[in-house]
Amino acid sequence: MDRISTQVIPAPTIAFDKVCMAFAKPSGESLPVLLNIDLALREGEILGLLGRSGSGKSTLLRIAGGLVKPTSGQVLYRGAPLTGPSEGIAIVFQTFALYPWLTVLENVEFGLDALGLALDEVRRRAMSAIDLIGLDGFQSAFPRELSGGMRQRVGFARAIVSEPALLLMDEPFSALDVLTAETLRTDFLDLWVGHQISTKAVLMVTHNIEEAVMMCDRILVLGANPGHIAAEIMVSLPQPRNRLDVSFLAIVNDIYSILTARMVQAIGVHGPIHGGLGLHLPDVSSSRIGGFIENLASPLYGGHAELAKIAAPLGLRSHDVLPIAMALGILEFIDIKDGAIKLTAAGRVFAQSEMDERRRLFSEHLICFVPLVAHIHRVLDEREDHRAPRERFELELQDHLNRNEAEKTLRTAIDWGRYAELFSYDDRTRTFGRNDAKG
Amino acid sequence: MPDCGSYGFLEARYRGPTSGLSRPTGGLTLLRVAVLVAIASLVWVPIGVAVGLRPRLTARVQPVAQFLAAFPANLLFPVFVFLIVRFDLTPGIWLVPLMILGTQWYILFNVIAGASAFPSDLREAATSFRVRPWRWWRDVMLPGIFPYYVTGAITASGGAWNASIVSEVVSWGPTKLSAGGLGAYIAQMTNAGDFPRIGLGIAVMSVLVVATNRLVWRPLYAFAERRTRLD
Repeated sequence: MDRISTQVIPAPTIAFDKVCMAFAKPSGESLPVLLNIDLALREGEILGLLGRSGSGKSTLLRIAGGLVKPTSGQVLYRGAPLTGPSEGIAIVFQTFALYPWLTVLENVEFGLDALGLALDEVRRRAMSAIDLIGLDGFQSAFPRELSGGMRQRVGFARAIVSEPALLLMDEPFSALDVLTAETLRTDFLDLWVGHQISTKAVLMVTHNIEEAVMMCDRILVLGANPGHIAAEIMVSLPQPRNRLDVSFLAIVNDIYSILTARMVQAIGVHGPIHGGLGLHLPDVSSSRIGGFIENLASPLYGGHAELAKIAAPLGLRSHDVLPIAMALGILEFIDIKDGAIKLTAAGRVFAQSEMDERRRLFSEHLICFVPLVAHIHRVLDEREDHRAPRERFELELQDHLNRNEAEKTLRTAIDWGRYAELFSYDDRTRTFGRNDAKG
Repeated sequence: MPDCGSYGFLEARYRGPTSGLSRPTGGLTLLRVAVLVAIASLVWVPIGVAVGLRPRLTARVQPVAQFLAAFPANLLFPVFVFLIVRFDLTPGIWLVPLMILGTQWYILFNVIAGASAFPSDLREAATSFRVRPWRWWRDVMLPGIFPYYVTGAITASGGAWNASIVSEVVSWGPTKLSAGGLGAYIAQMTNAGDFPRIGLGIAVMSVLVVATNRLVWRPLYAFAERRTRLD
């Protein structure tokens, strides 16, 4: 089977038809996480799902794997409705999900159990998968004896040992260090391009733009709240791809622009005008914000920069920049437009100020532009003892965000509020206190 | 009670009268504890797993299991005495379940705790690879809950030993039933106020409990720890 020529368009390996997914909130209402997802994964293709946390991309992958039933809509695997985990579909997990009490060989054989093969056939196929994926000699090792990279190799071997037609990968490289991840990506691409694995199509979830451009033939950018397909980008560069290639960078830049445009829009929609308590706050500490503004104000950038080009000189990974930019955008210290950022007047003042002045400026902007922080501040003011339990805000947030997101957003709000000295928070008693109220 | 001395080594040191403990009392109770823990495990491990994997059910069942573990089981003994007398049952068999009545719940709630703490990615992996039931129990769930189960089983068997003192001899009004065994021996000697024999009985029990812990449970626990650790 030739993966490159698409003269005859084969039936999609997996297809989503108006798939929606919602979870129940503590209050009983339903929280939509995916809205009207239509997609078709063609044979011979690696399709990337790119989105930040909260875009429902992992849920989408679990639906494709038959692990989660969609609230509405239909999933077709090779033309037939998918009702649960199915033969021919295998998952590579972000956390590896290896059984610590089984050896490498036993973990790989685990992937064959459902096929009910004879013992010697199981052993033969497991050994050849181990061989192929570069684990030779480690058969009798336990996962704890292996490095992260080797563990994920076991994860890959377990997934491909049953020769699945569809391989689902849930951020498979994100738990690995940069170098190991790169090696594993390259090794996988070698197998894929060289037709050494029988897999017909790959669906990969990632939040790493460069990784998506490196590996995928097509990228779907997911927007959040609820998750939907915001853009589709074809990547027609030949493999192996070069990160420094001009056309590679151009695609990375394009995706940045799309993501930032969506970000600005999201801020606009959920912004202070709409009293958006549920404004998702990126997981960025106040110290990072200060450092980033200083850098942006330095002569090197002179107050503006292209997002795609700012990461490396700051010693950041490219996908770390986006949350910081988003935080600064929310606080109106920068303007974001077409994948480029520019310090606002307030941002410039911040960069030139001393610590106390910075703190004052930061707290003003927090009150103005972050409804959650303003809300906490107001509640503490109104209460006689100027204290409030964390749980109160957690529950309020969970009406807008899912539990995980609510938790992260509140954590960021606490960090920012502490820095601005707007309130204090005691993690032992899990209560907020007004800053002048001792506590 | 049958007579066939089995504590020669202890009695050699015991200078007092030897009548009374020259019976397979300790062995009998040990056998009972082992069988009861095995039966309780067969019953409560599957149920505990089924409950622990369902968070809502866990929230409801776990407090009940903990309450039952704290409930003084000997309040129910008279009911057993009545039934045994009423239906003319053999005390040596039918009194025995009383030993585990109060402590079996430790197995249940530890297994529930283990199943609900089972990593969700490992569960998902098992589901997505569609492993068959036998393998699911053998390679996924049982190893996963094993350290929790061992904790529960240690507590349950220790508790059963203690309970044997009050459950191998049971009375309700004038009716008095005895199932024999080490617990019955200690209870009878306590009634008779025979301090040396109480001491001997307790010493034998302690030796047996400590020996089981050392020879069975501790190696099992160490094995579980070693196998289920990831780093």
